[in-house]
Amino acid sequence: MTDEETPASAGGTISAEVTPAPNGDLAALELHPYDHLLRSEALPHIWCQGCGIGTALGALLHGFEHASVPVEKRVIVSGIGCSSRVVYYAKTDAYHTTHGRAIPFATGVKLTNPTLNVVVFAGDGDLFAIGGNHFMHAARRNMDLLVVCINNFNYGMTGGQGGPTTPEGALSTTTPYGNAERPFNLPEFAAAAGASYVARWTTLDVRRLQATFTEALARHGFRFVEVLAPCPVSFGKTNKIGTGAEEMEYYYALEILKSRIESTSHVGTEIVLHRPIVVGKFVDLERETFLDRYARVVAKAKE
Amino acid sequence: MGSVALPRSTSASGIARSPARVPIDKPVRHHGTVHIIESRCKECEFCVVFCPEKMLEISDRYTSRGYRPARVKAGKEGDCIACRFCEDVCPEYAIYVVEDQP
Ligand SMILES: Cc1ncc(C[n+]2csc(CCOP(=O)(O)OP(=O)(O)O)c2C)c(N)n1
Ligand code: SF4
Ligand code: SF4
Ligand code: SF4
Ligand SMILES: [Mg+2]
Repeated sequence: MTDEETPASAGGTISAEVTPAPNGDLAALELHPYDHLLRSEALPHIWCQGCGIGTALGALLHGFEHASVPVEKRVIVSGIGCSSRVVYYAKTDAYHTTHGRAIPFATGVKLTNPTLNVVVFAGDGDLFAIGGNHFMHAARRNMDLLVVCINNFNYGMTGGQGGPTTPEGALSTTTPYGNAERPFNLPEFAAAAGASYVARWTTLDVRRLQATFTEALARHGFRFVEVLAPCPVSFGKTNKIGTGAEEMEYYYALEILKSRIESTSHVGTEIVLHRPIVVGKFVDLERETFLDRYARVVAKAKE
Repeated sequence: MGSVALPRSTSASGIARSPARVPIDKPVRHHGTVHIIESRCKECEFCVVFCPEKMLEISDRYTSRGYRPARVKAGKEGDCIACRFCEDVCPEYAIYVVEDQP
């Protein structure tokens, strides 16, 4: 699948193939077609007006359905932060770990029961500040995990501090005169560390995100999807980008499809404030995962 | 920032081809009915801003949670092309569309 083959309009509605949808008139029941995939009794969720995390979670749920992942095989592991709250709303097996530790916990889940389809869902601060080493080494091992990073360029939950993805020059509560640091370029980081699948989209590319999750959930090895999401109460407000909808439009207007640029390397995936953002699929490789290699070691040990 | 074009994703997504009886090159327009779960809506305006038919708006009354829920503009009830972009983009799982049977 290339970006061109995945128009933003691809995707469609949730099918009831995998999870039985509720019977009866949804409107009379005040139910949404996603409700059988959600812990709807916990809704409305805690995310702010105009936050993009809910849109990204909806796309992931769409992916679970369209990749035909059985409900009992779905696991989401998260860390700490607004993004990590998804575990309270998705109807899957879930574990809310401590800050930065979603990947090691998820690794344990996957190794204990390799039949599970394990997703790590967390924020940029969680995965790349306190949890950066875990990310790096899980990618190096090609561990069988899909890691979804909600990148809102700051620590949303704790009041909008700058972190490892805050663009140079951007304002945050800890960089009131502009950030002096350069941010990580997450797709490049993931690719360099050894990820088998790497993609980046904005939340307004929700149909592309649905298609990406559907594809990535069916792949093996370490898969990384970065979602550029609005955080209107912190990053958007501090940088005067506006409402959540305006922040979505802003990122979307800056995006350039990876397939439209003449470069076979990952050059141009960097996020520089107010400059174009390259989105698309950057890596898609079939290669031996940790589980494949470990099985060989175990077989050898038994000889 | 300035103004930006509508998402490409919503441009022609309501047009599909019917399998039978209609000449092969004649596009069939789909129609839908919008449902809004007002108690969940947080007035984020995603559906209002990104609906390609510009048929949604924020209402003038408040829910018990203090938000003004989205609603279909008066007289625009028949405009929905059932593209479901509002459904996919809504972060609150508060809006969905049922395609009308022809
Ligand atoms: C060990 C530890 N250190 C610090 C914190 C405080 N803390 C909570 S969430 C968070 C950052 C969250 O940022 P991010 O992962 O980007 O998530 P977001 O809220 O932006 O979605 C921090 C530093 C904590 N909970 N535990
Ligand atoms: S602080 Fe930002 S990331 Fe957290 S819920 Fe609010 S808008 Fe979303
Ligand atoms: S489905 Fe939603 S976004 Fe599409 S035309 Fe109807 S109301 Fe607008
Ligand atoms: S997108 Fe959803 S939450 Fe936002 S205004 Fe529309 S219905 Fe309400
Ligand atoms: Mg963050």
